[in-house]
Amino acid sequence: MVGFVLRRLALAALTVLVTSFVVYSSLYLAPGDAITSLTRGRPASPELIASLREQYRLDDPFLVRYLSWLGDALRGDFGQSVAFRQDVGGLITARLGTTMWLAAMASILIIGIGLAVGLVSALRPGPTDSAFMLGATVLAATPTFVVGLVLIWVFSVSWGWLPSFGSGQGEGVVGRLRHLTLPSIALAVGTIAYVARIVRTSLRAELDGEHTMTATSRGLSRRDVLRRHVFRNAAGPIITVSGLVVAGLIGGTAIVEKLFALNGIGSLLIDSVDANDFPVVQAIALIAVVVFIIVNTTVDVIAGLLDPRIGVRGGPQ
Amino acid sequence: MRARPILAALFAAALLLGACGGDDDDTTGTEGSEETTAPDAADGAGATGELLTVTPAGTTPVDEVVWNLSGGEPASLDPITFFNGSTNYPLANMCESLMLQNPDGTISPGLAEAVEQPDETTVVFTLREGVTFWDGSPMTAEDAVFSIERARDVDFALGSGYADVFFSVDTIEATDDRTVTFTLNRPDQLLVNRLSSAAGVVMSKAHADEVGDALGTPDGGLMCTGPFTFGTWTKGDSLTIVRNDSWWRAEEAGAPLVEQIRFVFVIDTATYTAAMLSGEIDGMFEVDAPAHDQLVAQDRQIFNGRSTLIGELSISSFEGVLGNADLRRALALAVDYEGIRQAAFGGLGDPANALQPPYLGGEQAPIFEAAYAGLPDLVQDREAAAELVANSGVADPSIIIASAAGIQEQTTVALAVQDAAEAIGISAEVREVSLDEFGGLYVPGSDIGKEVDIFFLTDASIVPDPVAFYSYVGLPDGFGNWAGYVNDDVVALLEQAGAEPDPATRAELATEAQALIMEDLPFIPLMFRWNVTYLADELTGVVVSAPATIFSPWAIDLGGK
Repeated sequence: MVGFVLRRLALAALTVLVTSFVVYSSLYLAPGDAITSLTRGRPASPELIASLREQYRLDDPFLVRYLSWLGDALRGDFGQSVAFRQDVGGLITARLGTTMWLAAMASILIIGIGLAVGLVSALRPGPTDSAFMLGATVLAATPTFVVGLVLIWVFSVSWGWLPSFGSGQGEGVVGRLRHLTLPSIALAVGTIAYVARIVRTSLRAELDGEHTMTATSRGLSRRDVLRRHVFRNAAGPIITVSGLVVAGLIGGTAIVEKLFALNGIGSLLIDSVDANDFPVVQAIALIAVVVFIIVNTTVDVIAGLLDPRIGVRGGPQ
Repeated sequence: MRARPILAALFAAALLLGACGGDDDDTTGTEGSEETTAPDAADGAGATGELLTVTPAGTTPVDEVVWNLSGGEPASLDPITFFNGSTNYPLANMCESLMLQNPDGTISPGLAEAVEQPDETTVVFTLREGVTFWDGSPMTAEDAVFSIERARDVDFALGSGYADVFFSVDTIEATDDRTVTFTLNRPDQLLVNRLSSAAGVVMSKAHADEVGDALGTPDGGLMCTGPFTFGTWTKGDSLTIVRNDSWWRAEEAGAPLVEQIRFVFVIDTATYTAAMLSGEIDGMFEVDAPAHDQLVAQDRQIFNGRSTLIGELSISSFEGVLGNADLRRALALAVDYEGIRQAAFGGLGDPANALQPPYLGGEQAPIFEAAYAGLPDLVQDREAAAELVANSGVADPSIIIASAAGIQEQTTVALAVQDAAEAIGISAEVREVSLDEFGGLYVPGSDIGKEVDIFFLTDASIVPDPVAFYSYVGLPDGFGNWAGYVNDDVVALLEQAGAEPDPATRAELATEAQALIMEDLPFIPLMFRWNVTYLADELTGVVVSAPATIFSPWAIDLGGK
């Protein structure tokens, strides 16, 4: 088991390294003149241009630039934002809290409601199942910003229950919860349906499985059958998919953050891409990838603990 | 349910493609330099008559006003940042300039109590006595020289957005504790008035030295003299400015009624409209058309203010095909002005036959108004336009229209221009470019400027004086002349105007330059945009004329009704 975990960690580190290279080089290749961005379109003296070229290492060969960027990034130094003239690290930490809150609240909704809906649908075939699945499909097909707008109009404008914008930063836990409830619902709605479907399908597969029928025919109580034979076996795929969904939230909050004017890293990413603020884009892309890999690796390890066969299969052949 | 947006889109398209421009309803506000105040209890909505400069002063104190910056979070509050709403709406209430722009478009002494010009190339500012920064330290000539040298930015080392204001300046010196002397390399009568913009802001040198590069950021903040102080700036979330209880002008102008203003950064139209309707946002400048329509439908307070904002098509480079004057004139004859005014801007502006509205210029406004009346109307005549194209001597002309990706009005205008060009025998392509690339269009000689031919932008003058704006776009070194437009007669007139001490003669010279520029059409004006302002029903007293809202304290009288 320890070997399995170590292998997973090594794989994760390698993935981060490869992705960092892809992230860095894709922006290197992107169109747009760095100096125009840096000088904000105003005339600039040759000295200023030279000092900017030095600060952003524009004259160094690509590999040298990449390695020194990676070295700085490992120490948490992502350089200076072009648009904000502030340290990228500071810009991102100020906004990471909001995105984390948002992702956490959305994850709880996705997994909680997704599990409940999937469970009920799987165990109550017929009208309940059909109604749940129809509802889930409709919600999944509705674009996030439409859901968000409807929520704002109903809960903020018409009823005045919850704020329509802002992240509640500096207003304590209650402020955070009040401000981020609507955004997290908007973020979660589309994905709840996805998780519910996976849960339902996995449970159905196990319910219809021969081992379940055998267990039932041997006279085990329905409760024991479900707990030992259905839930436990269905847990693997459900955990894997939930993990992927949650990990994806960190990079997928941009639309919701824009709509609700939240100071998260998703909206910062969009602004930075627009402004060709490459140090910020590189940093956020890297952070999103690292978070994704960490969550994913954790989920892999948990799934491995639940099902020892995964560790064996994942080993060297 | 789905049919409605589609119908709306078709309706907009129909307006755009409409064969003929609507009639030229003249809705320009024509008042001179008097203040125009909204009548009590009127919402000023759909003001087809008069544009406002202020709203009636508030009478009751208010703890907090939440003001939206629809341009998003300020990139910096450093006063030398090229002017934009996000930076300047908060800044205008914190930092004051040597000269002061009044809401009615006149300019009076600000932090300087007197300005003298002992000879043609010397300007002496005497600073007021007893003005202190927020920390209580006195404002000195040294602070003024330091701040203005930053704005002047001789080597373009700081990227100041106001460097062109100072092209006529040789030296700036503190001749004593309260006197700042400018020595000029040529007579420049525009300089003093231009120092009413952020170019003339005075901030504390000691504070700037202390915070270094962090000046104007959430960490470094500002240290100025104005009616509100820099409070807290939560990155990405909000910026709060707090009343300065020891403001030097409080006795004369009245202390602010508002304890603090919290600026929020909601960019999305639907979200800020909802937040206004739910009472979470109390006010905002530059309300866009969809929000305007919803707020008016809900009977909310909307004010249409005067502004120097001009929606215009700009030639990107005179080296391209539109360097040909006949093709420019043809395009100007082909554009559906009324269709664009309605479809792209919801009708929130006036038809424009020049690059600045005629009611500007303070006491000289009558001169500009008379000259404006003599300018030919820009109306659609595609037959005449097609003839011009055919006789232009350019075989198979084709143009590329740049459009900033993701901005609705950019797309709408670009498609309308494409339609206009193709209708008169110029083949046209719309090219979507990123905001960053779009910014390159404002740089003289940029690659992107040469790749495309024309683009839409909204520009504005930093002072409510057409002379300044025409110098900004008509002189070869003006920051607004990125296309390389040179007409020797225009240059001579504008140089003469710049050196002319008599304001009336100066205005006359500028109107002559205006007439020539409108013949040359380096810019095709589409619309004088209004400063559309939202204010919560229980509030009043905000200034609504731009650029006073950009460079002068606009919230001193803001308060409850």
